Amino acid sequence: MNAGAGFGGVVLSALTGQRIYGAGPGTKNPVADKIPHHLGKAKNVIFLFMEGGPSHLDLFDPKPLLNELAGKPLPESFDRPVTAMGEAESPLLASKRKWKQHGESGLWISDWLPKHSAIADDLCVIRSCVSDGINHAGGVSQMNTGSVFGGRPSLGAWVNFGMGSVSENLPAFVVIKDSNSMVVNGTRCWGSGFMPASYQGALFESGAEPVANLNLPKGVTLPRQSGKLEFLDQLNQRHLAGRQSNTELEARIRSYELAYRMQAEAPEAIDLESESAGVKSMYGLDQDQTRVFGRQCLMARRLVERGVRFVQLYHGAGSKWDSHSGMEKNHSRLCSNVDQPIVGLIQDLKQRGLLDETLVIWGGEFGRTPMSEKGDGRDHNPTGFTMWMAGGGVKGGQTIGSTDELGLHATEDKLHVHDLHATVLDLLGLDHTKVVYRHKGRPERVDLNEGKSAAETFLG
Amino acid sequence: MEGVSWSDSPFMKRLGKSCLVCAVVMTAGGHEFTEEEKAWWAVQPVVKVVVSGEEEDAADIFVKRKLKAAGLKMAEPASAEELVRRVYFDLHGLPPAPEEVGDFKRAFEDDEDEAVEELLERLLASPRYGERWGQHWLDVVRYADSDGYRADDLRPSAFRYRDYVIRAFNEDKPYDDFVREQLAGDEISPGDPGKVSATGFLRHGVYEWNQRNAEMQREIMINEITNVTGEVFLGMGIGCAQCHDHKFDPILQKDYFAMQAFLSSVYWPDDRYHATEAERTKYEEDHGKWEEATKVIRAEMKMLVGAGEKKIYDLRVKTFPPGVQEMFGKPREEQSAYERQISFLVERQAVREVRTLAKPEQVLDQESTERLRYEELVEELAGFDHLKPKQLPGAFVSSDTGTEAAVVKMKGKEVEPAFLELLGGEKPVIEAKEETTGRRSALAEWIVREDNPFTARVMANRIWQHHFGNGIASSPNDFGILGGNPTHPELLDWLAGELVKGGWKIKRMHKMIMMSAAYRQTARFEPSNAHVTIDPGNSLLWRFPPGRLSAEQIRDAMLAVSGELRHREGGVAQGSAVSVRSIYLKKMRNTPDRVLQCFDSPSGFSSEPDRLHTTTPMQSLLLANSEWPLMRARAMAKRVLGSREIVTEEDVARAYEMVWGRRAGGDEVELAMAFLTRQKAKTGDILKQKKPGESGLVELGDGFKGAEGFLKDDTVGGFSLKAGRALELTDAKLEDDHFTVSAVARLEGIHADGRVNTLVSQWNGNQKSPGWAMGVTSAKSRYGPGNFIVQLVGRNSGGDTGYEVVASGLKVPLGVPVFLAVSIDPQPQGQGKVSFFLKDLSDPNHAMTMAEVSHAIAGGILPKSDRILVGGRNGGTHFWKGEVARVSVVPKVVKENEVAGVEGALVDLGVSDLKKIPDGVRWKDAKKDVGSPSHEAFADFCHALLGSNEFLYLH
Repeated sequence: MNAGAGFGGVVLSALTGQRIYGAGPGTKNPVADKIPHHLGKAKNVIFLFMEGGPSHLDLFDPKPLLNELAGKPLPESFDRPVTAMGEAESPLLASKRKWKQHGESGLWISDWLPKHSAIADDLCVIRSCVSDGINHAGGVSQMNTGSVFGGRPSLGAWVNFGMGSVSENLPAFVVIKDSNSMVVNGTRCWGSGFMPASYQGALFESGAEPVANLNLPKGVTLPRQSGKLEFLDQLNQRHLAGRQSNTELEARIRSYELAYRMQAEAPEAIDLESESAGVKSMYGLDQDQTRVFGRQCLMARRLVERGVRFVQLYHGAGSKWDSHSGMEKNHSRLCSNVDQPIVGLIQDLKQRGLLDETLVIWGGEFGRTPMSEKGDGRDHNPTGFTMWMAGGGVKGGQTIGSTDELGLHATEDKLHVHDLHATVLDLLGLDHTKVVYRHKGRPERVDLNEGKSAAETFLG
Repeated sequence: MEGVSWSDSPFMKRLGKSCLVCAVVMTAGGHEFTEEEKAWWAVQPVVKVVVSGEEEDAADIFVKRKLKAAGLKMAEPASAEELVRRVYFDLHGLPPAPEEVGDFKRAFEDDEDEAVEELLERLLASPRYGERWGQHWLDVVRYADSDGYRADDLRPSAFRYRDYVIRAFNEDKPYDDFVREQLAGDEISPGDPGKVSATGFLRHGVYEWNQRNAEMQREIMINEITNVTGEVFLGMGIGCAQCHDHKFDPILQKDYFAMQAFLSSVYWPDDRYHATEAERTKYEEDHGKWEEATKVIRAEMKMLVGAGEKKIYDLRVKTFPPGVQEMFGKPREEQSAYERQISFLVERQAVREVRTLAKPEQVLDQESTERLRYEELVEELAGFDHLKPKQLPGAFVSSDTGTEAAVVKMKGKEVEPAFLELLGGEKPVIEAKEETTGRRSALAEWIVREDNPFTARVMANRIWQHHFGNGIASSPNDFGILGGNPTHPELLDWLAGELVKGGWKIKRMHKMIMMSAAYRQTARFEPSNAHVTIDPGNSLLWRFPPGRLSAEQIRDAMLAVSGELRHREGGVAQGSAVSVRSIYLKKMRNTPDRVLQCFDSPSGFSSEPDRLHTTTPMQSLLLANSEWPLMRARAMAKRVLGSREIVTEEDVARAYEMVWGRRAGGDEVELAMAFLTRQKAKTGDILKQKKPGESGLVELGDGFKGAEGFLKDDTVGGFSLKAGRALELTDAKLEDDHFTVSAVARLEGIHADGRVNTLVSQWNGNQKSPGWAMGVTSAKSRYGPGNFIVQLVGRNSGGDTGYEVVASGLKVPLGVPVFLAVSIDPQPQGQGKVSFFLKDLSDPNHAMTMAEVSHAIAGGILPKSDRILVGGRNGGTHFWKGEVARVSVVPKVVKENEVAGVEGALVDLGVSDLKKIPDGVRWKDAKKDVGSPSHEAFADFCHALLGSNEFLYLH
């Protein structure tokens, strides 16, 4: 990869792996490419990923017919999808939820998320989402990277590539999980695929070392480490003399500095001690059942405040929302984990004036089937499921699209994952057809050239 | 449904979209190529380039011609030091040792050309060459050791392909054969497991273990194989023509499917052996005898578990769509090739399910008479083990489902195999082979035909690319219009011509390129304004392109300079902690090695023709803070200093030379000495506790008197383990839980509490996690003090995890050298035993005593991650209060008369081995790795060198 760059872009382009063999005046500054294509309200994204596939039929998409036909097979008139566990012919499973309309907008939310009533008017619920992944691996992969196969950059990486980074001392894309369990497909969910690694997400752990290798080696004191790095810098400065044309060398010197600054800033960014008791309680940090996700949500707000572009929070890492059986118990518990923290996050962003510029996305890799599995569970349903967005200019209190009468297939205003990704870029002020990365000679886009932005509808 | 085209497929229909690859609406067929399309450079015949003058200089003629036209010229020749380092990293991926640099410099002063030529020949003849150049190829063929997707199952035999590639480069296999074998090794040489391994190429794609949409899965597999074949061998982004005529290149959708028709019958057999015809015949014969002898027993076993297994199997099959189940249900002889492929995919999932969910202990209730009977039968069956031949190693190969081909259709019409329309659309003559369609052989023959315009160009370009960092055609996997024109088309054609002319031999090409002045010029040249204006990207080569080391080069070079790198000849993929070259590490798609990933090693999901070279703060954090480089630095410090405490200027100069490949100059040594003085003061505070000597060896002299005959060598000394120091045998890996451990040791005293004096173990002390430990009980033990015991955690016959103390009742005398040995022999039905051996070596008249104690652990006692420790157990205070003089581990159960022998030992360490800690052994406690202040300061110096730009870049 070759690219020319003026001095201002030298470090940036070297950081992104573009080889520069010579540099001089008059060449183009790649920073110029990072200016948004149009004015989007959103500047940041917080993606709340409910991993395993939450049931839209029991949360945001009520289906009276489902309860009427409960116990019977799917009527002949419905197309049989290929499902993960082959449950196309299993009897339909009633939803035990109590449904009510909430807020001034009258948004439908089930009694599994009682606190959500307070933010109903902020949510734009999309009931017609569609994905191609019938299994977790393909589903999670596509929701993150656009493709059911691995190897492509994740949405956060695209946003990072398209928008550039605001913070010099924190990664532009941060991922936080709710447990030690790994997200399906591992780190490639926030990988940069064929793009340079500098666009990939950084996994923040909530323990003593939030970022890999952030802490000094065991038993090494700060003065000792500083002494060593000063010496290293001395070696590198001497080496640079007479080799200034190789901008990678200076970029590496800078990257040691950046690493050092990150060591100072990252722990502060996720240290919640300075938050007031009131704020902590807003996020549910004072309750056992909400503490974990509440911490994640509060960290997300702090990171966004500090210039992190894209924060992805995993709840139920390792397919915990997957409920092939015993869904009552599974979803009751998981919903109670996230209900208050999500409400706290939206309200806190709002009271700080951050909601307008922060797009919050909620959803899993797919929804669940109206057909039962093992008597009291539901199979995977990628052909019609619900996600929601809030903030970032999106008009709240609206419901977009619909599924059929049993919630199996999306019918109106289908929003494929590719469309979702295109929309997210659009809301950030990026034209998804112009955020192009060349790989193996081919122009690559976030949406595999298939998506269509629905931003206009969302903005209302 | 027969083979379908992409656009007709259920997958595409479901998507309701046009194309997954390009933003193009599909066009109808019927294509007239324009003049412009016909003029596409990559389809023109390779021009026979005639050069005047010496042929070795031919590459330079083209490079100089272009430079001259641009008003530029080549840089000065590189110095000997610069050149030798470049050549080592280029051909071996490793740095030259200081002596090698010195030798080369002297030879270079004598005669430059001869020195370079001799160096190239020597390096090309070394096995290290294939390990470096094989890696380039593995990137291109998306090699990995795991499935990808969620389960990311290990592909335990994928390494056979990796070894094939390394061997092919080392043996200088002609490239045409290399192509043939990868596409059709099973058709060409079915009896040669080495060559059949090459067909692993067709199965490196990702595999989703639970994809019930089997038809889509097949389609994905076959498309992936088609696309990757186009990219790898033809440099053609043919995937773009999957759902429509290529938008930018004259490749038609028809071409795509005609190409796919060569590959459409491929499947991934799981029942093949990596064995010759003769080995297989012999195995089948012997196995047949065993089968015959055990027929009745096995039939009864099958009767007991068969129904349970079938239930699980059928349940899985039922989760597939009805159409798929129907194909699967047909008798094999009635199935079409396509249906066989589908059935194979169904079968694979059902078998996996039975393997994991229908084990005998899962389908038979624990207390049932059936279960008891089954266990009896297992025991009976074991009685015939002497008849059972050793399992042949598994293969990782591809083949066709039969001689009939899976039909490929486009828009409902069958497409026959054919070559590119633009090249005349010739139809090949195909002869079915004994068990396969013969189509892949036909494709391979077309690819390697001398008049194929792509093949030689693509490979010649890849070779040039890896020498210079950039290809002559800059997009090595896509010679299409988007890939751009080659910078030196004549040079590329000349190289392609030479490749064919030289019998497709690659080593010859290396030599030719590397002898050139273009390659031998310096990278140490700063561009003027003219350079920056005319050719900022240095595509004309006005200097040698500087570049960062690749991920593997960084990791391997660190291990090489620290002295820890261990060379091997292929074999099973290793975990990241093992100090072998990176190409031998397990490449798991979902959990890649952290060091390698951080420095841009590709994840193996698709063909990657070139590497990115990023510079990120994450890399800096890893280099500065993670344990891994620091441990290399400490090992390097120890390698240079040995046990010396005084660091000399020579030591510093030596370290510079090891890492940077050149003599330190100017005030570099002084600078380092000053740093060491400063740093020494900063390291003191963490070293409150005085550690034992460099090797930890405490000469006991008389302490092991009498033990002579049992020691490995003449040194009568011991190794103190008193302070809880334990040795970790990092490389000794038991494969089977039937083994023997013996030691010559001295127990000075026992613990006052209940802790076990553990001598050798492979266990973390948790009674729920597998492991074993050999030791002696202490004062408050339930088994009485001084009792020679073994602790076992493993599976009991019920399949549950069990913990058991196996006590010998033999009392270990204190303060004298003793020979201690245990032979551990678990049995599936829980009638296993441990044999204990004990001899007091201080008393020449003492006879070896023995005890045999049975236990209920049935197996599974080898832990996954814990290594064998000498002197304690992992993470505990149960250490040996005494010394050890010898330890050996033999991977088999031995009889009394063999117990003192160590034939076939996995490890046999004696005192003189331990004086200088050998490869594969290290002190367990990392803190104990910390040396004295001067050693630590020197390690910091080494650490800085290993993180420096002069190490990380060839510039």
